[in-house]
Amino acid sequence: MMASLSGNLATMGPGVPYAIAAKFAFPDRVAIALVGDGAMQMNGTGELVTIAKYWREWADPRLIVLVLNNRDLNMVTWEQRVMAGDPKFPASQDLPDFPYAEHAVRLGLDGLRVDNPDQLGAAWDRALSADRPFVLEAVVDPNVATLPPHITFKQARAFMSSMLKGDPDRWGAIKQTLKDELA
Amino acid sequence: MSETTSDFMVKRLQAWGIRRLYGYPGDGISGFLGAVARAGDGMQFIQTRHEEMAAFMACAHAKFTGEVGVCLATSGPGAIHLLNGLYDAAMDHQPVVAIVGQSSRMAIGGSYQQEVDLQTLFKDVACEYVQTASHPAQVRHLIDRAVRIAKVRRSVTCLILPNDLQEVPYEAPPRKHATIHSGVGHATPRVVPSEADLERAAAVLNACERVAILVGAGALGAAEEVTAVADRLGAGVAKALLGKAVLPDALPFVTGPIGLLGSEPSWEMTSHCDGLLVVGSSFPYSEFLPKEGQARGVQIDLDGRMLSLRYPMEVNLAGDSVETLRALLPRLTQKTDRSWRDTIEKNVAKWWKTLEERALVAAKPINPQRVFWSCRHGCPTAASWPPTRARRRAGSPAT
Repeated sequence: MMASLSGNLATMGPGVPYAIAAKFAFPDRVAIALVGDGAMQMNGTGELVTIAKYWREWADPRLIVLVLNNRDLNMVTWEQRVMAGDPKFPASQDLPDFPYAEHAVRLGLDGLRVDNPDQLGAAWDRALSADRPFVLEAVVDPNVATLPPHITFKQARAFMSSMLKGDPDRWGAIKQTLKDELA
Repeated sequence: MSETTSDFMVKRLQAWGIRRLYGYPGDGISGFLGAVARAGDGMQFIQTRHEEMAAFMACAHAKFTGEVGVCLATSGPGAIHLLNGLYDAAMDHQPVVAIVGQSSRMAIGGSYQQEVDLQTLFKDVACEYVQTASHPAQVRHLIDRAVRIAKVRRSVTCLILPNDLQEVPYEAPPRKHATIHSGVGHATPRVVPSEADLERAAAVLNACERVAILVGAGALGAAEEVTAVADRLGAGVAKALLGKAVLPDALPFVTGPIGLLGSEPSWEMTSHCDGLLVVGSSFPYSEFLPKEGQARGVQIDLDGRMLSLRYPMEVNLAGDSVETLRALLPRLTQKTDRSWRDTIEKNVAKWWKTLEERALVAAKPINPQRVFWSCRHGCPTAASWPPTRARRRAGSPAT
């Protein structure tokens, strides 16, 4: 298996175009793009049109785009909380919803929106056995914190201070973080 | 019709083994696209929605194949759109050639529509080589140098083609003073550090009792060598994100990712090691590396500019990762005390349990970690799915 991402520039949005290039380079292999909803709105929904234009040329048509749909620019939201100690700023962080899977189906691709964890295994099965590119849209919780290996005292203080400053999602975020810690 | 300058350039790209271009059309590059069309199956043009995507695809082509990726855009706005994707390639050291259109030679300097100072625009991202063609007899060496420099320097290069030049008949460089007669072809050197540096590196690593290894993109293809060195040194291996595919995560001594979104076993390892071996990585977050003075450092990198950049290394080894690790291995003595390695493996096993528990914590509606966990566990049952999982089995390197 090969894997890549934008490492040093760390730009948003290369997932879907990288996967397309992977399919042209290795049309007999499966490509999977792991994409957030922000990146999908930035570049991904447009490049699904490119996939729709070319997928029939690929010996194995499977290209799976996993979209994590949480209607939040979540990584930066958590950076605001943990690094800057600021509450989430809804004007910059909230994302409008978009029907990613439905958009794929309308383009002649396949897709499925999943909002129940028990459906995930079957959804992956369907995506991996599809006869064409597939958008797997998972509706996920923005209050699950990305996992630092250790929260330093400074970061913990910043997180709590962001909560005290009136983060609009504070109760969900605190509850979810405690659940993770107790797990 | 006689061969145009563009026809010659397309043939020259083919001579370099290039068969695919990612791009977006526009009248500033139409002469060149005409030649791509005339090349038929010999040159594939992939149309993206936006030039930045074409640059990303050229970068990914380079990353996944090791070949040069080529992207193409028209003058002005199309060229500007390429930039972010080209910076992605430049900063991850990928060989990418950008071919862009420009106003006609007789209009340049006239504030003409869509005329942008492309030479200046691309000067930073394509710092190794950016040139504007001004004569048909020049394009042979422009193509040769753009491709060769992209490969040799692992960098972005850029050719700017005024649109009238694209359509005029090609002229071979005449045999006279001040002409360039270049050729096609590239050689990959075998880069190995000096014996003395290898001996010093081995002495440092042999003297350490708790070695941490960090691998990055430069270690891709060196799975066997990294594993052998880790076994010899009783070390664990953390992976920077671009080195994700160096080794499978399922190996018991692989601590996985490192950094703010890294794993606890990686953090534990770098916090307590007394030796640090970095192979092909410029992982930027020094706060996740050992404290200065805590560990004796050895770094291997093909590009000498990247040595001792994030941690002050005691020994810097300029060399290819596979060749250098192979040369280093016979100089390393087998660690007999396995307690450090055992601790790492225990931490790794515990971390997988933690990840599973956290993935299974209920959330509204789905815990995002569960999406990845279920890819590995809930599925795949599809018969056609190859036996490669999100978490790979031991002994099957992710290459």
